[in-house]
Amino acid sequence: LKSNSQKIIPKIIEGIILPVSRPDFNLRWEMCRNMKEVDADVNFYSIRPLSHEFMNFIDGKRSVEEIASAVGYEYNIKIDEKHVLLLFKDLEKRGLIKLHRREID
Amino acid sequence: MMNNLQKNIRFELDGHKAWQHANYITQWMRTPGSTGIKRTNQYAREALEKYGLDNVYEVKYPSRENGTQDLVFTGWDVNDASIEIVEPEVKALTSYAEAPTCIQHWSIPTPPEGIIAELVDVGIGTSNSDYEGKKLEGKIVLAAGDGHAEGNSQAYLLAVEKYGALGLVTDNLIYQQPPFRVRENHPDSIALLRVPSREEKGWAFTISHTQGTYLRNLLKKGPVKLKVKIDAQNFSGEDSELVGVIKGTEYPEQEIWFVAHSSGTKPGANCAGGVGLWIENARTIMSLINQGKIPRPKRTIKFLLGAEGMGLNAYLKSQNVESKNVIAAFVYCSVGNDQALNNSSLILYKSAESIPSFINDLCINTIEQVSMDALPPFKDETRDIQLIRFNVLPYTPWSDNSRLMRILIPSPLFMSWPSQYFHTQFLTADKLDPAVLKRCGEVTTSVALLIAGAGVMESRYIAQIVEAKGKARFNEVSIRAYNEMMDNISGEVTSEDSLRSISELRQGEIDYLAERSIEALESIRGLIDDNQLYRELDELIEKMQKVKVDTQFRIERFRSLLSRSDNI
Repeated sequence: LKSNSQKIIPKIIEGIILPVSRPDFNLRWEMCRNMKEVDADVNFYSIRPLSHEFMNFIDGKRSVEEIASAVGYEYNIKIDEKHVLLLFKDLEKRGLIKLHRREID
Repeated sequence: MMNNLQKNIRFELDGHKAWQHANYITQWMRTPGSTGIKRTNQYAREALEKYGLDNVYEVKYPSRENGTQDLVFTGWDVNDASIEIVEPEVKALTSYAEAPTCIQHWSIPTPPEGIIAELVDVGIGTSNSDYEGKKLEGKIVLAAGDGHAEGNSQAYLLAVEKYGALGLVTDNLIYQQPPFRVRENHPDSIALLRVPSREEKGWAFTISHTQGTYLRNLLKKGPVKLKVKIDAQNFSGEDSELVGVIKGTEYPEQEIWFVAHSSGTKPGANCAGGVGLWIENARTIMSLINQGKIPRPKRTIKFLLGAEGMGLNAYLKSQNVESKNVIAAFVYCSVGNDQALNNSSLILYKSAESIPSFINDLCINTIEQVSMDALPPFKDETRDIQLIRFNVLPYTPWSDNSRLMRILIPSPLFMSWPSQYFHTQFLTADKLDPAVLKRCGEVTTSVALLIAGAGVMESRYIAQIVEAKGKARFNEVSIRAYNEMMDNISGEVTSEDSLRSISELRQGEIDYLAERSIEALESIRGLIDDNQLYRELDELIEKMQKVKVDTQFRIERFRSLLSRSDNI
């Protein structure tokens, strides 16, 4: 989806309010397993608050990388861009957001 | 050091009154739409009317008139339930009277005489492989579960809806937290769990780990039959959100909310604590106004109470709520746990940092100001020692804060955690502490009244708090950076690169924190329209930028000095 010279910018599709409910059970476990490889502090219950903040930080300007970094600082957890993309690709598949590519200046 | 507003609240707010409300409510099973939740709402309504709020009303749902017609749900009431072994011996396991958490919500009733069926152990019971090759139609499944509510849901769906069992029995204990809360040291705890679907095909019981182990051992010797009796009803649900209003005198369109939920299990003292404090807050504020100790608030204060999730949703649907007009919503969950009995702490789960607001800094500052309980040996008046734990953690969606956050309403959540009796039959009102209820009320009511009455001077005060807290965070990060770099040079492997990456990481954190603090300062502009205040905010923001750059420079200089030392 992304080359080294590109940033991915998530945008919420007009009229959509992102879900309050937990991400799908299997997706949460997948995110948990992936994130735990980078930071052992992550557990199954981390995924819901982190996912909420991943979604909250979407403003049509911040890149996925910037969102990962902001939420990482908020929770003092190491978060990689690819972890956030696991959720965002699912949201895109469900027609809730669109992932745009932007060339890095 | 408490300010005058905080002193007035400390004098007026009575933790024992909050506790008495909570204790009274724990007599009812309070599932959405149930008789118990309706009695709880009625009890709260009568209290608010007695205190003389400007308006008290209910938003019913589902209702076309209120625009809540799509909030259709299945209500559930329970009168009695029991489970016993009938073969190879006769032995009672548990009952609704003994442990109200044993019957999983939305379980269907049995015939009045009950049903008798064979028990089959499927192990954990959360995956297909646990069930394959077993004949389960017309039988009862025993599943250990995986320590998660979702595991219970999966076990029910597989056992009852896929493999045709009559019902599920589980000794799953969720929210385990070693060493305080594991099945081995809570052998008799029976956890609240819920039937996940509304297909009305079966029922589920939770039993204790002691009982689960007993059944597994019995099954090793031969067939076991259980008798189950359930007197419960599923029905088309109707409910309402209770709203109490103290109308603002100058900016009535701006609002501050107190949100609690009347839903919960029986006894469910944790959730009941939130309702108890919610009622006592209303009394405290009205009493202070009526005594002339505080002026009527400039902004509107609203009290919202109903089923967690759906009740607040009904209110939001029925009103045309503009998020920007809701300055803050204080959300109560389990706000009164006795800290010694529950191994618990009061927690402020911050409003999501993604929503720019001054509210977190103001709450943290107030916690520090009012959390003084005991005298040091060298003083006679000023209490400097904290006895009630009050921790601050990042945003966590435990309750209605998740719904409010999604529509960009700053919503700090107050609850107790960890909690070794959480959602078990043992979380009775005696596990609550009036002093903890009072502490939570002191903090939230102080902050709410400060915001509700804020003019230019109060807004200026809030700005100073945000600026000071922002700078303090820079210092904390720089100290962390120095510690990490010192650890790094005393470790076995040290390199320029690793020092540089620490410096970059912490400088990045300071960028992030600066952005958050500046946005929090900006949010103060929403309180009041005053050019002088706006200029002062601009100056504070400029100062914040300078301190940011200075702190980053100091981190980088420390790295540079270490890099030049002999350690590298």
